[in-house]
Amino acid sequence: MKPDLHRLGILFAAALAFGPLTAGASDGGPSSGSASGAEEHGAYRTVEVVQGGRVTGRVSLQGTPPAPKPLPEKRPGLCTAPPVNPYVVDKDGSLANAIVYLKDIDAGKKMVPGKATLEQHECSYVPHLQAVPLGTTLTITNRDPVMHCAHAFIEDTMAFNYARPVKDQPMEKVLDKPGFTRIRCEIHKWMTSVVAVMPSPYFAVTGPDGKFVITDIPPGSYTLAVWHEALGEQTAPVVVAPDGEGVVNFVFKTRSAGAAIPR
Amino acid sequence: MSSNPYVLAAVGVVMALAARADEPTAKKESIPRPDAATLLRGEHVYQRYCLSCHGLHGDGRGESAQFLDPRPRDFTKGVFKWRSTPSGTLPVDGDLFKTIRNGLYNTNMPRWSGLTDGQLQSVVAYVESFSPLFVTDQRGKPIEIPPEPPATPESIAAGKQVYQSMGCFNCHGQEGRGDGPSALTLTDDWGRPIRPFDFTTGHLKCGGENRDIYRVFMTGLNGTPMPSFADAMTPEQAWNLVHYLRTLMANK
Repeated sequence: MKPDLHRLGILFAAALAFGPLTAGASDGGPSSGSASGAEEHGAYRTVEVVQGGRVTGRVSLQGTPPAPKPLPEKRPGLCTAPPVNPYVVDKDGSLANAIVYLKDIDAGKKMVPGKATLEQHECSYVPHLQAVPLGTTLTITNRDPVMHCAHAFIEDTMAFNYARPVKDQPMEKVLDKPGFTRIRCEIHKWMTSVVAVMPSPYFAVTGPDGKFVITDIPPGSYTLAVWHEALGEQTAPVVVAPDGEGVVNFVFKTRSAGAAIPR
Repeated sequence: MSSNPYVLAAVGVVMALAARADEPTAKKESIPRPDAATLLRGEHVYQRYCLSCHGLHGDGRGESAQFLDPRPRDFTKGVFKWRSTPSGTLPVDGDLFKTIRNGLYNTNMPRWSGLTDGQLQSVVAYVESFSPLFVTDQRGKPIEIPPEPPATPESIAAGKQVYQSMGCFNCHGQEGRGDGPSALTLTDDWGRPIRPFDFTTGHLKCGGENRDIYRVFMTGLNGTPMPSFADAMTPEQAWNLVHYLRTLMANK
């Protein structure tokens, strides 16, 4: 079944590449990259936002999150960083480190890809999680006197794999593939990091209060999504009126609160 | 074994579209696609020679796959080990052409020296058609390999230092036998255990020349834990390392 669809997909894309027959039929989807024009960042275009609105809300977690996975007992002495707990929750259930974003928005305020850093320190990635616009330059530096590598996956397809054997030697990588990029180290398997490479500037990462604000949104109807590295993704429709505000509150449930098993 | 209707339909439409391809609308960065006749010829070659291991759908699950180690490549992900292109990028056609023509040493992938250049080119196009990435993503740009300096006792000694400072021993072991401290925990992108290369077997899977060894450091092997060292070591260090590894490989 699947491969037939693949072939049809290829056909469809071939049809797009040959242009005239399909002009105006479709905008080709987010992954078709340069097919939709010579824009700077994938399919996203900058347009003037008139009477832009905003989306706000809060992300929370119901139920008791599982304890963080313990580190292996046998590990080099310099690996002193504590285990990463993906569930950063306060006493009210506010969930931090959730990435909230508008799905499938292809035009709006200016996207400014900047610079970001990722360091390997005491056998841990610092920061553990960040969200950046597509086209951002990521500087990856090993601060440990042992070898690490940065092996990145978007879903289950690799994005890159760089050896970082030399302490304090930086390297730069332009993040040119959108997606929730999980980076690990093959030598110290417990080291994980998330670099969310966002195809539009309309995203926010929740802080300790679980709240988020996304501003300067062209008025219209959208799908708002929240993604969490251990809890998966949820979506909700949201309407942004001119100069208005859409409010969406997301609630994740842990397995102890009766949620389906993620992934 | 006959072609399925989707492919025939696809061929028909692509042919119809190809007739219009000379119009000056093609964008500079558009990704070239093989023509329908090439794909059809490639399909015939594939079904004759490749299908029993790599599977009807190119997912590496052909009838014989269960008996093979390493497993046949799953083409649907667009992830290929042996490339001339940087880490995480798609290979160029020539890379796959070379893999098929030369085979992979010490694996079940034979040399397909009996196939013509035309058959190989068409089956490369067909193999690529299993992954949507070849439609959406640009190919990687092949890396440059500078000329190899002569091997000397000094370059071999310097290469031994590189083997330490670049951490090769973590996986490949102090003697290059593929038995480093991290070796047992390694998995490929499909989650299957994978062995680091044992240099004492004497011959890389992907080629017997020094350039082939150099290329593996600088491109990494997509789909495996072997990373790219392109941003970590200089070409001089890499050639020194090649010379040192040759001494391990010569012990066979």
